[in-house]
Amino acid sequence: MTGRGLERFGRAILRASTFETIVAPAIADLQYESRSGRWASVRAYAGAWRGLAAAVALELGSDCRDTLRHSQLGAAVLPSLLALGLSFAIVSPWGIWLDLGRLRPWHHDVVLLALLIPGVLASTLPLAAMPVARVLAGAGTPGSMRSAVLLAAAVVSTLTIADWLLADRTSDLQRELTTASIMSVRTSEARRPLWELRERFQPRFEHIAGRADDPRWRTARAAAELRRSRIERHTRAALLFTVVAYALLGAAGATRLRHQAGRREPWRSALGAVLIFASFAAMRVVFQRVLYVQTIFGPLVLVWPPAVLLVLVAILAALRARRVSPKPT
Amino acid sequence: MDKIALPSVSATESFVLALLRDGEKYGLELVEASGGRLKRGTIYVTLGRMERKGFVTSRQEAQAAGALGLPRRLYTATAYGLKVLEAYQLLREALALRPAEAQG
Repeated sequence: MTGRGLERFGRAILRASTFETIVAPAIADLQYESRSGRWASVRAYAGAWRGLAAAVALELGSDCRDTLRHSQLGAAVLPSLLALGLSFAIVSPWGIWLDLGRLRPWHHDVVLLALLIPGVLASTLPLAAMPVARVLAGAGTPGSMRSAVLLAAAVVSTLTIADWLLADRTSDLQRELTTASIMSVRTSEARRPLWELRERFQPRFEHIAGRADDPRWRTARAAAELRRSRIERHTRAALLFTVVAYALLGAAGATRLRHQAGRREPWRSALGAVLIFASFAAMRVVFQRVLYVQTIFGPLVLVWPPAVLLVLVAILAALRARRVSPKPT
Repeated sequence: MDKIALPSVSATESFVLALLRDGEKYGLELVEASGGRLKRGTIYVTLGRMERKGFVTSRQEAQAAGALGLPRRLYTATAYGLKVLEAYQLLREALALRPAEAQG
């Protein structure tokens, strides 16, 4: 039967009321029109899929609005968002300062990227975690888990694609940085604007860039730059993973909040959000320092264990909060 | 003075109400009658919103025994919806500027 797969998919991801009102009539039209020829059938399919997309967008929007309106969860989520913004506001200049210490002042593209990436993450990570936290805290409406997971998946996919595009667009710059490291550009030259330096060194950049990719020509400095860029790529991916930790700790906070409502609770939740990112950063630094002694530089070993540890701690906290909190009467 | 909650009606909603003034219609019929103004993908979102506002009602068409597939849905404008449409059109006419008025 035409549209059966679409019907099953729609029923699986949407609430029954939304499906019956928006998607079911579109599928019924599709089934009706499929008898009128291939072209009509294609148009009807496109219409049904657009209807499904509109229904998903409606549900996600209402879930996010409900999350913010829910008094207890709203009290936990809003200060957490503020705390996340503050964390990133503190972390960004710190990252730039570190970069400026290592890179030359003409690397303003890098400084801009350093501002952009934390900004994007700061605004989208909590968005992905909010509905999941709400559903895990047991305050979700029927079907909201599906919407929450869909939203989180959409945000994470968008971030991953954006990250990939960004890496692709800046690959030339990365290569130039590596090449500049190999060439040991003098400080007086390095203070010139990037475009001027590029114009002057372009032939040499191209000549050496080929060698930079060749392991036989790779110097210790170049290898360190490449390693650093790889680790940063993995760190960004691991930061996406902390969405889960944020959601679980949000759930733990919200579960306790329902029974210990007090003025201080929202601020404890905010403090928890700051702690997530601070602990991730601290664990990463500790891992790097310890493993550096062991001459282990692989990003999989350096970056991912802190993220996994953080999620495990969050799972334990969420389970404990559920066990400790009395059942609502 | 008591506050009166006025219903909000968009241009698309008033257009759908005008189409439904002639009687019960399927969503697809509304799309075809609109001359491209209504889209297949969003017509049911609009109709669902109008149903929540009380402007339209809907019912599933009767299917023959053993019929396969989902039943299609028929939409009718409610008396309230038609009243809102009438008021909306009157308001629009009252507020529309004539060329002479526009020149001051």
